[in-house]
Amino acid sequence: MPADRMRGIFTRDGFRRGFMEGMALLPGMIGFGVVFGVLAGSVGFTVLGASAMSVFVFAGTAQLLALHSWGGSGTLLAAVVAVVAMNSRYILFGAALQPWMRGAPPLLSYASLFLLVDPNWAVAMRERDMGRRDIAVFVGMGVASMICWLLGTIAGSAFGQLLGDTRRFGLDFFLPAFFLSLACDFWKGRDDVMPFVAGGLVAVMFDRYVGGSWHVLGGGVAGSLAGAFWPRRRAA
Amino acid sequence: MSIDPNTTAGFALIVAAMAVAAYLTRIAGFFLMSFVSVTPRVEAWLKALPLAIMGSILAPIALHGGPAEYAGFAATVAVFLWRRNDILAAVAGMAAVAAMRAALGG
Repeated sequence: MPADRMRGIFTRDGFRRGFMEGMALLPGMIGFGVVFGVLAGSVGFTVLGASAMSVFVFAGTAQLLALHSWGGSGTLLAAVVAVVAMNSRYILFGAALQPWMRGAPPLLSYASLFLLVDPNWAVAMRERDMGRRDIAVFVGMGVASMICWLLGTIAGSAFGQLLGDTRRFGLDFFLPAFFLSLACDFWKGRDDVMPFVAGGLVAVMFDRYVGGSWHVLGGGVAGSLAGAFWPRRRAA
Repeated sequence: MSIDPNTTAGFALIVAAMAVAAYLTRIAGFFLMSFVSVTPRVEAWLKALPLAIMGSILAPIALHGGPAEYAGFAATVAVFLWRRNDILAAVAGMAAVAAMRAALGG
């Protein structure tokens, strides 16, 4: 890959910016990791086992769901189904990232995608809308998220039983709140009503009748298509 | 299939299977999208995607939530409009939820 084509696509400065922004998410990510660690410990995971799962699977909601049916001989199938159900939204996230990453070497893109989580995806979309295409921001934030997630997992599985009910710290609300503030950030005007509302309505139906996190995939597809085909008030 | 998650080998196998499944969900959409050319319609779809996703994540939470969650949403929006800072707004939302849960005893 010639150096000039790569320029601006993976910079040290971008990595630092993403990493710092990811570190600012520390309370939420660590808290979420603690929640997982506590529950993992309660179904008999060792600290090492819980940590290995957090590093290699790196999907909070999927790991939590997998714990629900952990233990019997059907654990393998249940755990894989939990991952697919909860991570289905990432199929859509990855599709949205692809045009933004065009021009980067495939190996770099596919390695970066291992670190795809909700916050760095949302920040990548924000960067995209600002006309920036530095993948290192996405990777830096992913690395910071991984570190926080792992620290939380270790802390939770080692000492978590001392904490009691983590819901009272409001940690479960951190990610929704982050998405809400990003939605405010993305909001430009009336054209945004259609995808947001249509996505929300379809998601509620999926949430009610399907379960898992299929509502994010279903609502995301429906809302974005509605937004794409709804006549726009201003030129795109 | 009888894989015992309580043995080290069984545990490792299950984690490996979960890891492969998780990685496949992360690259599937990316892979498929590399065969799609970005026409104006596709660009409009991609532009609409983040808010559609955010609506989809937030709507069920709003539906299932109570006073604590609504206070959290309100605090998040208020602090975002005040300071224009994503993370500060999220922390404020979380703090509002924690405070309301403490006050309501839930």
